[in-house]
Amino acid sequence: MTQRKRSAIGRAAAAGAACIVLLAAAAGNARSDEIRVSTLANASLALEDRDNGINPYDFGRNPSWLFRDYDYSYIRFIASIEERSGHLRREYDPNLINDLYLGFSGIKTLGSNQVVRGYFDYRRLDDREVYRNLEFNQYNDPFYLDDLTTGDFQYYGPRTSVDWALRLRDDLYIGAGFDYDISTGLKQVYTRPEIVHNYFRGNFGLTWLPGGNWSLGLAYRPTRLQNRTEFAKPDEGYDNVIQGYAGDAIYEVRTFSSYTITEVEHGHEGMLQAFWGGAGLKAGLIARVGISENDVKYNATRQYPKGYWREDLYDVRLKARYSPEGRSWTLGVLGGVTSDDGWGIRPEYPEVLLYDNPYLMYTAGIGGSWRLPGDVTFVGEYIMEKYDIEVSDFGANLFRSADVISNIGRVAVEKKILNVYSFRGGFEYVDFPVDRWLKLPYNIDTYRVSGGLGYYIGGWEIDLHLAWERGVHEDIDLERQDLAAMVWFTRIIQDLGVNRN
Amino acid sequence: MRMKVFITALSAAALLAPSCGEEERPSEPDGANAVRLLAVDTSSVEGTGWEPVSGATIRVSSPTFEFYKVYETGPTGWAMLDNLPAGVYRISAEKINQDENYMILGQKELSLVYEPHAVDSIFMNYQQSSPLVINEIYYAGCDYAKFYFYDQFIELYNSSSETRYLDGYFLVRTTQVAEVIDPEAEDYALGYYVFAFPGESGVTHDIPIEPGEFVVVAADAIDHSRFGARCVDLSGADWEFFNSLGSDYDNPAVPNLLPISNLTNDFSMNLAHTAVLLSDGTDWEYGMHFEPSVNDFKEYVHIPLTTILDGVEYSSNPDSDRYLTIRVDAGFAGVGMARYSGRSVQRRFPGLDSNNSSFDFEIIEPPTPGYQ
Repeated sequence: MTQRKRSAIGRAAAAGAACIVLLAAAAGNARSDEIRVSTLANASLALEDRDNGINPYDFGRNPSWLFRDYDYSYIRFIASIEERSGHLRREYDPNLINDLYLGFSGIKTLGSNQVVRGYFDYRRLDDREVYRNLEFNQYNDPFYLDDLTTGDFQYYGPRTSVDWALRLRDDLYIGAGFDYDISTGLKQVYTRPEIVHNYFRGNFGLTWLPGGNWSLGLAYRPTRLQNRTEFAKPDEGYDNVIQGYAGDAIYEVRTFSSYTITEVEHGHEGMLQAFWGGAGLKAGLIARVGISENDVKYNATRQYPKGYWREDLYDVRLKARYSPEGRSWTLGVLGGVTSDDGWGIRPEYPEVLLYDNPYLMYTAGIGGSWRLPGDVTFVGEYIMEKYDIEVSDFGANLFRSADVISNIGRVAVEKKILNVYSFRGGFEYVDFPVDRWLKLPYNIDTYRVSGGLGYYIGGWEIDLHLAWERGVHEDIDLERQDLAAMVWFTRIIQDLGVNRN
Repeated sequence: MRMKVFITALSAAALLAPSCGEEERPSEPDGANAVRLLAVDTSSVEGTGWEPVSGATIRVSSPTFEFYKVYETGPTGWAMLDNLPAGVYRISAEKINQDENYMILGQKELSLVYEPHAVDSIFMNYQQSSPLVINEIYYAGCDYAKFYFYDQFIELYNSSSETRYLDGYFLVRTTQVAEVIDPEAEDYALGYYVFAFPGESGVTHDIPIEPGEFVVVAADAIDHSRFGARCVDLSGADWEFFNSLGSDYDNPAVPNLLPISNLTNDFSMNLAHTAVLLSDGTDWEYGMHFEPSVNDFKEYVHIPLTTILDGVEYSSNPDSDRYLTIRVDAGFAGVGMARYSGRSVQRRFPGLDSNNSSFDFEIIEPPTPGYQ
């Protein structure tokens, strides 16, 4: 499992399972693994890569498959920096985000029947020019918290994840793991709240090989996310004044010297996996069912509920890759449907629905990779995402809907020299990134150019990744840019001779 | 066979998962309340008998969240209040006849959850304002860093056409005791700080307040602006609270109100929530109430409601427990006002008094002692 996947799933838990904010994350660095895929324009359908396999671990993060996914032990040191900036964003998104982290990861066997994989980093997240927002993630539900100032937040904290797999029999594996993030952020101007972000997700899995080329998996993931915003007496000489929103129109003004607002999200997700791993054809089907409930509570002398948000997730996803024997090309396809029905109430009025946000996404994609003479690999793919989203803010009498198609095109090329050097470059185009709250302008285009290189010698792998992205709108003269750089130093400890790509 | 059982069991478990949850999804939407409201004058000011009031201004606000909408009744006295989210609403109807110099007012409170076709009425009456009102209260303080709130003041106003006399009148800061008195169940208000004008109520006539005149009573009648940019210059105050039992500053050039209650402190008002009363100073008595913090009974002053000429309750938070009966004041002034903000609450126009401070008062900055 990759940290990038882990982080993506964490964000999904925080922001709603399918909240897609491509402008905020598209050019983002690969974390820990998948640096090669990220550099190659994120073209993942047909690209053969050791972290991009069609198996229960790479495609569905079933920890029990880690045992079979293992091919060599390593320890990796990671440095990453990314900066996103520009006004083509939602109202409460930071105008500039500077994300820096240093970390390490590794994988090793424990005896002959266990494999463990770990990741750790320490992160500084600098959110600058944040307009009014007083939450770690203002867009994870329709319950907002604002003050009247624009200021900077700086978050510091570690992130870690561990996966462990155990072989019970040759056809039965179990696994367990967790992700844990904690960070503390401070707003640098009045009202100077401290935001403590705390995320935990367990990950339990089982894989059974019934015979033939089949593998069947099951995963269960409990999630707990807590964001606590604490206010203390400010230096400015007067009380804190904040506004607590329920939807875009109903809000109350709170005046105090010290105060705490907490949101706690509990989620459960079950996943059913079926994979076919033939010599030429590999295919995987994943069905996910999840629920998350977010309780927003205010607390001065006693805690009382102010918001309740719930999401019911159904997701079915199919990915297949066909590499005919003796041929130099690979064909990949992707299909899926995601239904994420979000709704919210004010707990003091449970009889009426405050907010309704059904979200439906159909995905279909096709891609190919070609290995040309001279160790050149060319990758291309096209993905179509069709969204059917409704946003009904009944309290504000505001209604929005979108029935749109987002087109994603990716092309990339990799040139290897003597199996020592790799040069990579890619281009990704996204037409119409979609935000589930429909608060981004319609019809944004994003262009992402990425490049990097790999160097492998003496048991060391060094990978460098650079990416630049620009988001523009045809009618609004605003843009958002993203610059990202990452470097890996990987020490191969025990090479079993498996192809690492 | 084993595979079928495996898949069936997992699918069943997965399908059941979303049915678990803390709350049920409601079927009715929020924000769909609509009230067709008839404004009726029951005082016969605009006709004979009860009459629908056309052109009345209907103000709708909520004590639990920020909501303020203004409507106007049509020719037949009806107004349509629509798109109201679930909540508690305070509705006031007003019609001011400036030529005839009278005002008819009506108020009511509605609690709505889902009523898309409600019909209701609001009764309006000729408003007999108190001739003497508390026109402005400055209680917030001006400097958090120094905890400076010694520039508090109360402004009185004579809204009648006759000279009135303040001799023996009380200015009272009320409170809520730990044993929690239900203000609606008692015929008195609880006085904590009680200070009196000199003289004897109804007997002596040495402290006149002329029609349209403002009288400022300061906590300390000095120029507080020397101590902070937002602090108020009260060197021109008409009166000053003074307690000789404490270390209170006394400006000898300004006459004093002296304490009735047995406290050693100067008159001061809570920076976020309390009520202030103007009483004619008659028929009061001491009352003992248990105070757990000292594990003993403590002495307060009972101010009969019949002696209260005006009362104003303020609170920065709209859902605070009430200190004052709605017979004296039906709403809070100063909702949302921050401590040490240098702001005050003042009647929207001098003398406006509907006995609902939510309606009558607005927050202003800077304070205006002695003028509107």
